[in-house]
Amino acid sequence: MMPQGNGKTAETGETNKTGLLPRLLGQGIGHQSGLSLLAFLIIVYVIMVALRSPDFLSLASLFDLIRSGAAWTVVALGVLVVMVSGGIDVSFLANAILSAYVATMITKWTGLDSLVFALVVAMALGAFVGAINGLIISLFSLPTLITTLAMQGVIQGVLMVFLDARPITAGNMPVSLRYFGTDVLFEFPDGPGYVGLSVFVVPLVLAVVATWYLLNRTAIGRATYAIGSNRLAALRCGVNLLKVNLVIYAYAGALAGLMGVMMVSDIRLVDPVTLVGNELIVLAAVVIGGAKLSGGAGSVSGVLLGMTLVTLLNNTLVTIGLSASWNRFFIGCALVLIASISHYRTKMRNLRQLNFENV
Amino acid sequence: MELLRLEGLSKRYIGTQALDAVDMTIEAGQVLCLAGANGSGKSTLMKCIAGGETPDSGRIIWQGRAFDRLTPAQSMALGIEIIYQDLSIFTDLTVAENIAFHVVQSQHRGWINWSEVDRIAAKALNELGADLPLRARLGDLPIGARQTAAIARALTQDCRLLVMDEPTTALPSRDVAQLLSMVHRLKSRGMAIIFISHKLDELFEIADRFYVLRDGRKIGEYAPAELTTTRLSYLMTGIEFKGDKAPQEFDRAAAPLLVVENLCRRDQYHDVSFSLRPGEIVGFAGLTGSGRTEIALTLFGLNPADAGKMTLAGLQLRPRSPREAIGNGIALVSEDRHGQGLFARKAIMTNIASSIFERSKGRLGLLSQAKERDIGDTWIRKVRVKTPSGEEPVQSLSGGNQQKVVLAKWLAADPKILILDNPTAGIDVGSKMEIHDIVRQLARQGRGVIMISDDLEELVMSCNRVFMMQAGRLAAEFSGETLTVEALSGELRQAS
Repeated sequence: MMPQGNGKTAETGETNKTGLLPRLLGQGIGHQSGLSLLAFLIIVYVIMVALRSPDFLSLASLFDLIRSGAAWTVVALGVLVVMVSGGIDVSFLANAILSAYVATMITKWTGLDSLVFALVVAMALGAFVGAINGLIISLFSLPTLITTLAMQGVIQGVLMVFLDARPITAGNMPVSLRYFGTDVLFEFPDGPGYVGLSVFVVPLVLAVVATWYLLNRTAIGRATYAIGSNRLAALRCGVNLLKVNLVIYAYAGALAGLMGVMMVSDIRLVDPVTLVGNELIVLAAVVIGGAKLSGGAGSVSGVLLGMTLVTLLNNTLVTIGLSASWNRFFIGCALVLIASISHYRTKMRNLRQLNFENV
Repeated sequence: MELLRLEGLSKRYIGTQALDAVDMTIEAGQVLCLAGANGSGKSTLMKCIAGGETPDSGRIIWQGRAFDRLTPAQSMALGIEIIYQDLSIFTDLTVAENIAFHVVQSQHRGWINWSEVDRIAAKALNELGADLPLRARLGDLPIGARQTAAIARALTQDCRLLVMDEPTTALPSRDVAQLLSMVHRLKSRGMAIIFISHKLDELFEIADRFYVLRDGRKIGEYAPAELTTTRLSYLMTGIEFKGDKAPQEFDRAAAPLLVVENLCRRDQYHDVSFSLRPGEIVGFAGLTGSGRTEIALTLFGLNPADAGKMTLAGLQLRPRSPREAIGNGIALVSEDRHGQGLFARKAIMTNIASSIFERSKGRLGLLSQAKERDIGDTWIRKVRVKTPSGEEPVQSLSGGNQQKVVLAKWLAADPKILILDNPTAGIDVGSKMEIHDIVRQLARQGRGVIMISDDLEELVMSCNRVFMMQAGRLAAEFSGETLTVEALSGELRQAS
């Protein structure tokens, strides 16, 4: 109706005259430029590390980054899908370890020592647990945080009490899982030894493609954005909330199951008390990647960048002479920075429309 | 051709008969204006048509097929589309996706072809004769564009009957004309339209027929030629209104309460000077974006001026936050009731007392319910909020009564200057007159009132003086004999 006239004057008026900060952060930029800022931060950090230790800029470092970040990125993609819908899932790591534990035990009992079998069991169980989340949330209209927090507790209880779970050490683990953790797709000589690209890159790529497709190319994916953006409007448009919730929470659960198997294969130990407690780091990475807690926004590329930053910090703080304990400090700083910028952008946008909601 | 007929539709809620044996027929290619005060049953009637509300008795007949009730899915499948007041759009999605949303969600194949989405959106916009950037995020576009997108979305569904619930209430005046021309366009293509609005003059521009509803009953159906705005107001409310000028007398010799000198803010307003005396009501007319609201926000500490001087009762005024402005005795009531911090689910009395927590404290500095109730009851009486008790939640009230609660909330803080920005937008004519009465009373008590409005009649009736703003400047001043609706609308036409 009137965007040509009005929109244009407002924008040209401001780009010409406002200061550097608003121009960098506030002007008509959407999601993409937030991500370019994040990419810029990552590059600056990589250069810093490379200055301290020139060896860092190598294929070996890249492969190492992919290997150590793969499992976490897989689970973060599930978290992203839930967050886009305006929900929040904190049960995913408990779900991951439960799925991995049960998959390992079943693989051992049945003697079907096959990676595919273990993955199918873990992902199916993960999806089942996730679907229960989705069902409870839809049927009783419960807050997602409360539901998944309760689910986290229940899962840990099930593991400890009903399954009487004990750590399974490398020697007792199915051979297929142990190989999964160390196998490489290809390798080539590097100095005295070999560097190779972990097979973890395969589930990682599959999860990235599947999540991207789900969010951008399916009706359910778009309904997920719609629910996160305006729940009432989505209902009025005939979106089936139960169906969408079942799909997205089951999807997040399946990715958690996959991540669980990757984790136990990687550390060669199935310990029922690991993982849980790191949920917030994953949530932080997803938010750093541009997802909004209120829903409606977030992208796969954002998650990849957010996880890259978090994994980089994890892997390299020692290289630049800081102890690994600084990790959380920097992640916290990045989170505050990104959240402030996102708030600032919303504020500038609102101010242009004389809306003072978040001043 | 008859499209929809309602026969003896009734709906009773606890305590009120929302609809009482209502009959209605709508024909293709007709604009039916549904007029009624807040709480007259318009919304219930709409919900019955949209599906989601089950009538207690009566039938809904769509092209000869009779239904006892409709589900939302049924209603949509028949070709009934509702554009809600909040537009029900997705600000995080692009324009194209918003428009094609129904199509995408109802396709059974489950995957999306984005070029098809663009095509659907472009086609719907083309039908409307509108042009929007398809790939822009809808939340980044102004309200007019969002509304266009909402209408375009309705067109993607083979819509036969379009129900528009107060589509122009939140719309800047320059967009209203475009909206009305879209309505004409749709009508000429054979679509039936039910149009609901409280802005009576625009109803006369587009109505083929008026349908008046009061207290859940059909009062009658009228051709536009049979009615005038005054007559229509009477039919809606059963109360006779005199549309006379009733300016408040005030002491013209008194020292000004507020003096604004050469106020400027880049890109918004320039060189604005005016004064406000105790008891005076000064109006600001003009298009949205002409600087009226911007100045009000500056006085309220939300939009600092670049240059110029403001003096309040002889003291320099330079509020940097609403907190400071309120501390200086300035209150702002804007048209956006929801953005005003009304706590919709809290009791009316809690809302009223919320601006003066300090005074509702009891011993030990804790909030005292008794004092809160006291303050609440006093103001509920003063501004005549229609409610059984101050403990009812604000959301149980009609729009007009909610706006009175907003007024009461600010008045409880006893401001020296009251700024009203479109105080009666979306409010029915009865509540509107009551609000005008309250405002006059407030002025009589020695407060200064600044009234910004799109409703020229409202300005003429209440104000002592009216400034016409144009491109950020005070273009003209009207008072006494020169202050008439004709003079103002003439000036406004020149401006646009």
